Amino acid sequence: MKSTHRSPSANLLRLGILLGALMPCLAQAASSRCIDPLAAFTYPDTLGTTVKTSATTSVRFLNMATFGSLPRDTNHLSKMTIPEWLDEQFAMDASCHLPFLNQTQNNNQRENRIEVWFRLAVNAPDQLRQRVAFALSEIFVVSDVGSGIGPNAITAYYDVLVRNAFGNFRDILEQVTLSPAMGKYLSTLHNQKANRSLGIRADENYAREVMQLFTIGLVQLDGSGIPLLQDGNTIPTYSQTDVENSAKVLTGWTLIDSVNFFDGNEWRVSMKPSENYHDRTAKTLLNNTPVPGLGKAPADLKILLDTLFNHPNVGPFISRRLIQRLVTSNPSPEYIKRVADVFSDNGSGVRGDMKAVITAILMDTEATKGVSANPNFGKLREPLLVLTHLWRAFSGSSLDGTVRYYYPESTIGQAPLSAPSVFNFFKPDFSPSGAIKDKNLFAPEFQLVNDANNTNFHNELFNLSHWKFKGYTWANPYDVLININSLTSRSRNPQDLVNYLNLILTGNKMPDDVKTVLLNYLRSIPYATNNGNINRSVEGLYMVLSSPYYLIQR
Amino acid sequence: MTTFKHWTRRDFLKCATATAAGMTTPGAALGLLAGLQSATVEAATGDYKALVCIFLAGGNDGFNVLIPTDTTPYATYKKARSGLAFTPEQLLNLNVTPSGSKYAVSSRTPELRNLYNDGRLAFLANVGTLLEPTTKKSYQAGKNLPPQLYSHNDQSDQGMSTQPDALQKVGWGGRIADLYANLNGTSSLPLGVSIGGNNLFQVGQGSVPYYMNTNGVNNFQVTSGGNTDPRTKAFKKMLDLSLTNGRLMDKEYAKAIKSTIDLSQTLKTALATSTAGTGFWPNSYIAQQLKAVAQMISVRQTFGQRRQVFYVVQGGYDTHDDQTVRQGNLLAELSQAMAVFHNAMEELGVGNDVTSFTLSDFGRTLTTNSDGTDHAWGNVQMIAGGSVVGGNVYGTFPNQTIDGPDDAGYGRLIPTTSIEQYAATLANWFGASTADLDTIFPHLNRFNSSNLGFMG
Repeated sequence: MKSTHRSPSANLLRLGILLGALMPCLAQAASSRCIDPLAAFTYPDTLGTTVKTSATTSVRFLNMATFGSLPRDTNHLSKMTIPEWLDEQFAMDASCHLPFLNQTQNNNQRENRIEVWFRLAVNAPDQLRQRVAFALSEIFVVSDVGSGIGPNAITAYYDVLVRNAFGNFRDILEQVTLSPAMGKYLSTLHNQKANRSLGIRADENYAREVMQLFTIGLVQLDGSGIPLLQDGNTIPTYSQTDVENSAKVLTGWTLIDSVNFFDGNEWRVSMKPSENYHDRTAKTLLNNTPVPGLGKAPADLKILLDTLFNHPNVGPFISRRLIQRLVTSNPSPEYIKRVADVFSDNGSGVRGDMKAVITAILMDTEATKGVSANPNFGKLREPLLVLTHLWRAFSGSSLDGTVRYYYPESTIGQAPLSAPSVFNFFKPDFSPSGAIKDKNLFAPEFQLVNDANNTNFHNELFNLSHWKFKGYTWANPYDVLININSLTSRSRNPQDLVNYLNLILTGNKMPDDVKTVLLNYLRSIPYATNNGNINRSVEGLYMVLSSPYYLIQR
Repeated sequence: MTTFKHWTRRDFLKCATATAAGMTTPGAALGLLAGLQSATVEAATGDYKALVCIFLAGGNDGFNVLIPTDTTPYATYKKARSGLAFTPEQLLNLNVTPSGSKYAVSSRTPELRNLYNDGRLAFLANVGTLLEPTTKKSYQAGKNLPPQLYSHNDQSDQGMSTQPDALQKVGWGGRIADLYANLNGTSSLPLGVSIGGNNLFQVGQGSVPYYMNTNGVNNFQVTSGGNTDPRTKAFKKMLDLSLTNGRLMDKEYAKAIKSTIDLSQTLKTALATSTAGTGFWPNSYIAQQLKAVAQMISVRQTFGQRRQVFYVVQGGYDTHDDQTVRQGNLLAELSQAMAVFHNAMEELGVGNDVTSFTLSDFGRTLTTNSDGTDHAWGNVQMIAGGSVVGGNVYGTFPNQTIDGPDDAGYGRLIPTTSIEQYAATLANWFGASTADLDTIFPHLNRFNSSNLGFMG
């Protein structure tokens, strides 16, 4: 089916605003409340003067837990302990994207979807939630590339992740499954029971991917994510028959305003069952789990999702993916196991508690100690996270407070919720040819590293740092412009400039010899003439942003 | 006889990398060296050959690309495909095959019909990932099957690598590049060039392709002031320090950036004199990629390239829904693009030297899930170019009866030809000796033929 989106009208806009406001009531109790899109962002006050967390630790931590460290947040965290910061973040209401999108002139325009995504990634106070939601969007992939899914459907889907980021994994799984965007992307929407006279049978798309990519993976794992072996071979988690039977379970879902199953226009609210199209035969799912005959679509779905949620693979499978998105490409099996154990039981007997899982990921000794705990610690920053970091660290915004960067895919090779396929921009087991592959290590983000992308990405970093700052005569005020006052004020003494950039961007990770090269270069740029203060600032900024010591985050 | 190219330090390092990665004993390394040298000697002076892999991402439904039209097979096809079956009015008949069988293509693909009838296009029927010859009986017994059948990433990786069981797979295009890179002498341009982005197909033990966009190659801005510019010097010095002193990922990242910089200027200059012939190139992504391939081929001599492997991709074939429209549109674009590309190759005087071929994740179920299909296995692939013995359907066209002898269930056809046989036939044309073929394709000797006969 083609997705049809009404052209935006005043009525639709009003409905959208209404729905945005009603969202907390419509969704499950576990979802968080959304903030008012018309109010100014409120950041928590920084209390006390005692330093509890050092500056470098704060920078390093915030680069894992947020869309990039910035002096305001580093200072805030430094007066707290990391657990206190986590509690503060867990307690915040959600900056939901759809209400913000509804405030734009057209809530079903992709440019506006991308702008709202950047605006909230850069400015929202609930950074941990936003960052985890983005990580989840790279696991539970929905994309507007080649799918015909409209911007407000995509954004409503993203809000499922935003609002449930601190909820329970079981709720995420269910709300993802019933989201119209996912329904469209992987064919649960309008999936119907077999019909012999029409020669059709249930669509297997979501049935396969929900197992392969969202919950249990292809092969049975031990508690640390290592494949179990039988006679030297891995053991499949499911068979083709399991896929076919799960596909039958997933029949009979349509848009909430549908009348005849195949119609409907409401893409922002969970799908509803349509029992006439649901396969009511008895089915057997993986691990011989029975689904009795005559069951209704929601009851059958519950059995499937419960079965997947309780499969022993989910903990290690999802933990490894979340660790890779937030912390490091090659977590040790022990690290995965520690997080997976928390996934199984948060200490109070609850399985799938995301707050506990996120805490376990970020507070683990491997995350806090880095290379001294695991020599392979680290990950390549993906392009979107470099941009958000740049704009957070240097207050990037357009004239009217928006963050208008409409086509990131054409410059940095990546746009939010625009992966080329359900396999995301990069796969968890991607290994670039060369020493990383030879050591049997992984580096997912390197899948975006190739000559064409390298040139475009580095040229864009050059462009953004050299010509997109406030005060530059030829800068377009509707572009995202950064504020480089914190750099120009330090540029008289390049040593200050280098130290500052090294601290706020890398968390003091640049070695002395590299700093010396940069220092000597900046010194060679005359300060007193020809806007030397600016030249030193933008050159220094670009050199740090483009350096492997920045781009490899550890 | 070719002039023997001296081994550069770079070549030796490439080989050393391959050795470190794939082999453990010095003897094996020497064997590889010997293989490389013999390949050099075998090649005729100044000849040129290129393979162009057209990857149809998502799993193209090949059994709606090539349709049997003899009475009985067509009736079987129509029954199996129900709502997705083409009516005779929606088909363009192909010339009868040399063995007397009749086939047709969709009316959306007149250019494919023309290429076929012109003898420049061949089909290979029911080819797929296999570890050994596989029957319905051995499939049902689960005997020695490729792992993770019907999964997108696993099956496309297996098609591109033919190494289903290796922990760290490398592609067969890359393994070919490992063997023949030295034919290109000291060229700074890798043998593999990808316009379709990262892909396993072109990654070898020591070979990494060059990646470019459809719009050519851009300057790397920071170094645009030249090597004496203080900015360039500082940037490169910082990269060099990462290369020598950095940790593993720092080094690998710095290496990638350095390589990008080294090639960007050279390529930009070379491409300024390129041509893609006088034909009209449609605006589709697949056509624009093939246009970039044509442009690169037109400047091959600038780099002394005598062997090239290209990769382009056309996405969107995962047609679980709305297949007739979606696949129809994709195939129409593909058909136009392949025709203009091969006509350009004729115009550039390399019509017989350039062969394009398709690969895809897998085939799709013959049965339908209402308006789409699901993941399956055996598929139909296309091979095009002046050296193709075209106008014929190779392999064994399967029996499309649902639950029949070739059906693994719901019309998932069990392949009767291995991707390795398909690939070996192409590699053989490219210059690989029988011994090379067994090195490149680990399971090839389990099949009765290593040359399917579609290359002249």
